[in-house]
Amino acid sequence: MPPSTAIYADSLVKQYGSTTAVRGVDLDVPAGCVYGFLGPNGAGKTTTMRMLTGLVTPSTGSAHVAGVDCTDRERLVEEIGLLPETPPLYEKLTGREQLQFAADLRGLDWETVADRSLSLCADLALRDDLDQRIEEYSKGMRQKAALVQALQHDPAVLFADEPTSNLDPRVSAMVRELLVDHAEDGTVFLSTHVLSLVEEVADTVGVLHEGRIVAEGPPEQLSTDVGGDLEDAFLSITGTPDPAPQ
Amino acid sequence: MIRDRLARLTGSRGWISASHPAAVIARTEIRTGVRAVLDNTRQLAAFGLMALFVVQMQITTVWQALDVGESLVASDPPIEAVAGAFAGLLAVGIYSGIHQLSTGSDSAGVRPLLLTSVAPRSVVLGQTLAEYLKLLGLLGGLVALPLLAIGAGAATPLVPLVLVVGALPLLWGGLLVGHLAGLTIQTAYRRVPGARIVRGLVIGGLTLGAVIWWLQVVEAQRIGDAASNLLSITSIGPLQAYARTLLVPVGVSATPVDAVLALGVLLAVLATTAIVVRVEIAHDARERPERSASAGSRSVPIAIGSRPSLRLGWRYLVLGIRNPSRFSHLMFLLIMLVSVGGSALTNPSLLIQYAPEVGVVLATAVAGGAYCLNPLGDDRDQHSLVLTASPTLRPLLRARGVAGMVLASVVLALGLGVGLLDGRFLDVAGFLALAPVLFLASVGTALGFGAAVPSYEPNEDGGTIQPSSMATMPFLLGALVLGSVAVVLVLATIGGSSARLLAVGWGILLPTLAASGVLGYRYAVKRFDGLTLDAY
Ligand SMILES: Nc1ncnc2c1ncn2[C@@H]1O[C@H](COP(=O)(O)OP(=O)(O)O)[C@@H](O)[C@H]1O
Ligand SMILES: [Mg+2]
Repeated sequence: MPPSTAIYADSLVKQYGSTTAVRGVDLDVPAGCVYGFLGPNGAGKTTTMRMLTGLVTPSTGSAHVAGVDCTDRERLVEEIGLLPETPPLYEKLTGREQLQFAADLRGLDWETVADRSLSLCADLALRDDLDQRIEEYSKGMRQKAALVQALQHDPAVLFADEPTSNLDPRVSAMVRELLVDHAEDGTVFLSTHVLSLVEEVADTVGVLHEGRIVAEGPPEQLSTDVGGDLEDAFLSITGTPDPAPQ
Repeated sequence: MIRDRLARLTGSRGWISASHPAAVIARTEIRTGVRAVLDNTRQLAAFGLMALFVVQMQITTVWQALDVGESLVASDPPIEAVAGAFAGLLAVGIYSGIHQLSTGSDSAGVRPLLLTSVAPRSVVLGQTLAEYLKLLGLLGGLVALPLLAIGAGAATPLVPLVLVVGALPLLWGGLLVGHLAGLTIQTAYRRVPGARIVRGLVIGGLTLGAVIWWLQVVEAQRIGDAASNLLSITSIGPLQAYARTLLVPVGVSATPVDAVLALGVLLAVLATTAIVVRVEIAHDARERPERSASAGSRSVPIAIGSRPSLRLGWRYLVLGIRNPSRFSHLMFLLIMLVSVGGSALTNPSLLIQYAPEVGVVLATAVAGGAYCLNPLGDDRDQHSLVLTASPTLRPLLRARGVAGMVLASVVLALGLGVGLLDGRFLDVAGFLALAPVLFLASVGTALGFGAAVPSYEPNEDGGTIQPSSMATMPFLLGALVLGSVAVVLVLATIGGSSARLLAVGWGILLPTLAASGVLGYRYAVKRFDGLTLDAY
């Protein structure tokens, strides 16, 4: 694979007992873009992301992130940052302590990261809340802190799972901006079921349905293929919606 | 550029480079753990109370410790006793390793961060280190005074010092063996076919067997009977050699063979560390499947009828069977049982002989203990539903009592069944007659405790919320004591003891049971009917 490939996956499959969460996902995401991983609930987005970040091992298939095999977790962690669905934070730390902890973990002095970290906090309007305990944070604030934590070491590839799910429109816009910024010299792998989010930030969209990628391309192309907007494309690709309750 | 720096810093790999992030993780886990205790006044109070007990207990052992200290520097030091203490320490490590693995770390929620920030080895080492240091702090508090007394008795601080130094690697090794045992139990539980409850019983039985076996080893060691034991060559011998080598600085003589064996013990600890860390890493990347065999909904059987408390009680039973960790606070019963009936372990026929009595006492504790010690706390997520669904929580509290009594009846049936096989028909009838009274009293009392010191703090991984130990400990102790008194009275009545004594006994026991049951239940109803979400 060429060095400009950020994420490469070859028929990834994940089975849990008799359920197959992911049934053969191929990915070839170039560096320096935002890849929108779009799919309805239960499509297998989170499971795919867990395999790509080494949190679970694929049942079959293989994947590389920034040239590192995803099962080589010792080297993989140097290349990635993860914003999972539930923000991984210690309730009893303050926001600042949590960010310092995340830097410490990677062997980075706080001095080295502080500038970048604090400016990320400023971008997200979190700076004034940094000395409060996380247990007092709202869901949105937790999401912001977890995003800064995933970005402050400037990872080659950022994985974000439903990053705007708990955010109001204003904060959601701030987050979108950060994701686009990061794609200038890094790569963003963004999983979501929110169409407007991928429409706005993604360079390429992969639509995941029942564990398989059923369509891939720039958002505009997907919608022209179906002859409507992205929502029509999404609905037609992933099957008809449930009948609306009367 | 941060990225370049990162690459440079993390360039070296292996055990040494794993130690820095491991220390960072351990430090943070301890810090957050301490804050959690300090923030929670109830936990703090429980902690203070425990400290008082501990100090009192230590004072009573000071004289003994002085003697031990003196004998350790005398001509014939009690090496067996030291080795026995070390074996006990290993057991403590193993127990807490298993316990930690089964309850999960406090920081389960942070694991995605840890696992995507540092090498897997650092995560395992860091979390184990935190656990080790916490355990060490706790044990240190428990034995501080006796250790000082040993030093005073020996007239040199060197003796307690070498003992502590010798204990450190053993505790660490025990903890890791406990992890391995815990992982084995978990894997066995998942792999063995059959219904959850059957698998639970089988594996629980095997675990208990292993614990009993180990206690026998420790006991054999303590009374110097090691030679007759299977383990004497493989574990006790080396531990004695280890103790002798350790005590060389204070004048004990050790042979070269002892020194080699002692070195072997240390190497075994190192090897265990390397192996267990590998196993744990391999284990946690393999996310456990939720068994599809357990899928499927169960409706309430028609036979149960329409009373809300009975229908809800059925639901609690199902919930408990699907998630047995709801009962992990009852582990304490097992520990008490083992420590009280220590001699029965070496002589299993005693267990058969006293099965009905033990059954009654345990069932009494289980009736209230299973579901009523934290009647609203462990359903915290459901509060907004529960509080808006019905004007009173009475049916819910009763349902928990019903579910607990059903479980208790199973325990009772097991005990009394053995009694029937033993031909003790009259005793069994007597116990059966008294059981409903004991069960009802137990449920009411437990509800009272649960209402007085409810616990609403979930683990960070959102696991089961356990009852406060302020409720669990006094309740279980009380249940065991009152249950035992009741058993004795039943036997005495059947055996035809003096009428006056019996009258006094029953005259005290029955009103006590009635009062604590009724008052506890009333208090719980009053308290919970006034509950709002401001409670936490
Ligand atoms: N640990 C697990 N055990 C069993 N099934 C799982 C597990 N994790 C996910 N699944 C199943 O895999 C499918 C995909 O889940 P997920 O990846 O979380 O989807 P998404 O993130 O797209 O909503 C779902 O059907 C889910 O039930
Ligand atoms: Mg998901």
